[in-house]
Amino acid sequence: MSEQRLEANGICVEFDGVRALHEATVEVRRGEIMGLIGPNGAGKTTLVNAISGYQNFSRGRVTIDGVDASSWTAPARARGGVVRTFQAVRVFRELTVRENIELGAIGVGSSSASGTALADELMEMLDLHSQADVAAGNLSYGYQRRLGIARSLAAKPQYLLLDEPAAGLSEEESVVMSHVLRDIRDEFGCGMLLIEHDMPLVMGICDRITVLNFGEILATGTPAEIRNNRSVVEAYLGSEVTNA
Amino acid sequence: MNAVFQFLIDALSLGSIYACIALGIALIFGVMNLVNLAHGELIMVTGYTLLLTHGLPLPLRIIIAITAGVLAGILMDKLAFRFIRGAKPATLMIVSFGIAYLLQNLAILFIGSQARAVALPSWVSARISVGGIGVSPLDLVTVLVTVLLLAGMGLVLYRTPIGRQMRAASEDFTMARLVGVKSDRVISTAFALAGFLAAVAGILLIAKTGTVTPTMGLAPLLAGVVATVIGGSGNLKAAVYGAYLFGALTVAIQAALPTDLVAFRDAVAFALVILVLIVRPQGLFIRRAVAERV
Repeated sequence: MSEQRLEANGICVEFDGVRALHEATVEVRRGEIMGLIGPNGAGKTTLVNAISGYQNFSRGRVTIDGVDASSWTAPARARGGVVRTFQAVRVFRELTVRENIELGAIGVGSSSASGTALADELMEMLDLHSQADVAAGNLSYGYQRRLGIARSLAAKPQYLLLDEPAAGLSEEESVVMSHVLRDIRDEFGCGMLLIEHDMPLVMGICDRITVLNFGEILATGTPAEIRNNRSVVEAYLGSEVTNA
Repeated sequence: MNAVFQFLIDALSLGSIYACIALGIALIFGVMNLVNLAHGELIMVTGYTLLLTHGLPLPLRIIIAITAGVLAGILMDKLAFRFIRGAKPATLMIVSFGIAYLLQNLAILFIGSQARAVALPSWVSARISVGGIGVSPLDLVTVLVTVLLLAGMGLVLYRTPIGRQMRAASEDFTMARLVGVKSDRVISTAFALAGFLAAVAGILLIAKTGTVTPTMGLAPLLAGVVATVIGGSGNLKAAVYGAYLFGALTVAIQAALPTDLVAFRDAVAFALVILVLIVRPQGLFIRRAVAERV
């Protein structure tokens, strides 16, 4: 039962006695996009931090394809197939777009040649090809975001955790991003956990959605189920989204 | 004309030596936030190796001396810094100071505190005439060797996977580790390259002065640190530019000062450095503020 999925089970996190997460459980299957939504401060980023190894938790466990990874460091979890992006874009500004992506590939032991080929493929897919030799620091914000995702993908993750990939993007860029995310799922077959505030994007591309509120899981289900879940609507979504 | 040419050669040759030292210091600062005060001792180890291999053919001595410099760099990391990974910059710096002191005293203990003359071929101190202008072959060799070396370093840093990893690590070490860069390997390579650069710079310096002393690394260390600071700490290119600027500055001050004030050359140079730090604390060749790195 536990194969081929990334699971966070009963995660509890406290900050100086304040409960940030309580018994939070989320599961991402390979090849699906799992949305993680909730009001600001609900604990979404904390949960992603806990899964990717940036946040210690007092109780609960994280398993990668059935293997308990709770005690692994962040780089160890990345090697284990769980790769994340950050809300703040952290590309290597002095390196070119191509170098940034190749770095992601070489880091996991891909040979130089296959890294180059993969970088080409990723630049094509994320529409970064025209910027291949530009220093990443000179890219626009939208491009930097896509580069951050491309670099993560170069590590060939089984599970990709995306912390607000569409934040700060224009409406058109956001649409491009949703196509990119769908392409990634279909071509790489990885499971994705997507934190995002852009509701049309989340409802449009997620296979399932988990809702967090005050550090606890409120509901998990398909977009249609979530849209019609009374407690979710009351806590968070509001009426305008139910009509969407 | 002659004076201008002489100035250019002197500035280039001194700047190139400084550049080799500064680049090594910047490499190590970049990947582990360490201002390595024992960097000068890499030069000292190279120097004493050159001294102790007296009697062997010169090319062989040079190869052995450079190997010693590289090994000294790698061992510094493996025997000391490896055990305090992630320590505060101040802690790292004090440890490096201890290593410098230890190595100097080992040199005094086993070889003696006096300056020792290193036997080198006579052409090293000769002067030749090129188109009516007197130049020293050593200066030409210095410029040629260091420029080739820096170009080679450029290739390593910009054209190889390990170079790419080192540049990434020196920009954002945490993120580099996250994408899977192996920190020990990158740091080890940085020390090896720093040792190599320091060894070459050291041999060229010794060819100029003809002597080795236990504290011979101090002045080059200071020049290298100053060059990285005025260029911009943590940025490899800026360190090299800073080194050439500081080299030219030193030579210019020496030429401009009246003879009885030449002794104050370093004082004037460092006063200018202080001025640079007041006006542009991020360094002369850094566009953005990179305060969070330091």
